[in-house]
Amino acid sequence: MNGAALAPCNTTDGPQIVTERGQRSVFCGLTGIVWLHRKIQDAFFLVVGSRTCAHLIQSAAGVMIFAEPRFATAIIEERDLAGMADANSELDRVVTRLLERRPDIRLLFLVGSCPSEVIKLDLSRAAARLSGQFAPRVRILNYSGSGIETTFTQGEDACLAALVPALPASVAPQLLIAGSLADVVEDQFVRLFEGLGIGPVAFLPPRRSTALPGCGPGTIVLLAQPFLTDTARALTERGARVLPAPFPLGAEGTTLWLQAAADAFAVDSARFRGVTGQSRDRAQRALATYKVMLAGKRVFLFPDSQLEVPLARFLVRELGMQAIEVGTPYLHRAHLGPELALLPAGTRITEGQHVDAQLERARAARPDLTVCGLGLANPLEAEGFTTKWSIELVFTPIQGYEQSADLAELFARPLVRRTRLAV
Amino acid sequence: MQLTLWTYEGPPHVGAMRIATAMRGVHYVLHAPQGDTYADLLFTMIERRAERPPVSYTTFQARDLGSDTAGLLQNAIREAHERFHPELLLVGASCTAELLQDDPAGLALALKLPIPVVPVELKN
Repeated sequence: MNGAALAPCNTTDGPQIVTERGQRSVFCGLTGIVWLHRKIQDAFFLVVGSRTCAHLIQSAAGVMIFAEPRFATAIIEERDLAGMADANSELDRVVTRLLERRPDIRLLFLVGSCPSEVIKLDLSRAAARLSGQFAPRVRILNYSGSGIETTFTQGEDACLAALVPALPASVAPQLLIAGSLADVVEDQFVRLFEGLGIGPVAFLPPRRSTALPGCGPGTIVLLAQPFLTDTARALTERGARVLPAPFPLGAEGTTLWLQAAADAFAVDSARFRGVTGQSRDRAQRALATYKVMLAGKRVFLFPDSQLEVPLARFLVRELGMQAIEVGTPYLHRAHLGPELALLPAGTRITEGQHVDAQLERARAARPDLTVCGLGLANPLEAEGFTTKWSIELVFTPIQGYEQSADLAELFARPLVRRTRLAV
Repeated sequence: MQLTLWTYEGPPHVGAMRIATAMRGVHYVLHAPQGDTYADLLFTMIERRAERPPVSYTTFQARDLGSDTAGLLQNAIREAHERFHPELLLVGASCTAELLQDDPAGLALALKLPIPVVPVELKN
């Protein structure tokens, strides 16, 4: 656990990016299952792991004993560790029993965990073997959600990347939005794209696994989320083209994101203004209220979801906040390029984390607002910090014009709470 | 292999965390992969304690498996002692770290710290 903060690896103007190594207080990629199982309505996520994995999912998802959610853990036991042959036939037995019990499942993900990887249990082999048995009724894929391989939202990246080879080949022109979005946000974007004359529009992940979008040389991809390194690469390998753009957070971000698609589909600027103008103006007016509360306030972001850089850009540019430090677990230089270009020169970005060193910096800086994980929030509140739970940014619909004010309100709420509670 | 939709029991290293958190002057260094820090939330969110549990984790990732996870653990133990000045250190491994066979007890004792170091044997 080396606490060294290495030298800044950036020049001249633009943000200052520093790398840090040490204890990372972030979730593993298994947590992605909590929202992905709700998004893909006929999918089941079977973690192959330990009691720790089962305990994590249960604690994170708030599972109730009498519910039968579409995720579970096949707990590896001592007898499985005794010989690999046992583990594989045990897994086959568990999957068979599961699929007999749940005929509604059309897509089964075998999700790798830290223990399954350390013992080198080959889940891709298992998925192929089981596919032979259960196809075409059930598609069986695998991805890794282990903390060894994935940090939090990288679990979604691994899941979507596993879906890409299954997408039917298609040369037809289309716009593919990659990254999990709330249904209501997707529907709003569909209406906007329709107005712009851009189509057909497809989404990855789809709501049903039986309706996978096609992919090929005619596919233009807009990333809706900043953590899709492997998914973007896999789509590119299938012939798709990924458009560089900021992410659709706030009125400005949403406009630039839509503009990237409009340019790629040769939509003229008058039409673009006509379709987006009203929504953009409405969003900007709604943001004005929150700007009054937040302008000039200093914000410190701890790393969590990789949403930190686009969020900081929105907070600084549209709400007038000052970002003291933007912590992020991983920074994809290419996908975040358009965001980095919008940040003020000298904005301190920390990639990676040494949590105790970062806490010391936060204490020294005394921010007005601290965005952090649930393992830190209440202890920091007890120290007098005003905190915002970073996980809310993952579970709340925040993209698009209609949600811009909601996004701003998430950051205003802790400050308002402080004024209301006289303790 | 047991298909598990619900578990009554958490893993044993979490039990050890509860012991450490219930005591004063104790710090627990846990050799564990990234993500095992979820257990902090049992204390800061479910129990709503005003402090983080007294646990430091090595949070090793894939790149660490290629090099020196034992060194990572020794650094973590040394740092915990320097930063938190506990009266006693507990040292253990979560299930995945157990599989690495880094010998947390041996590594901890080799540091010859001036405080008692108690290795915790956690049977799964």
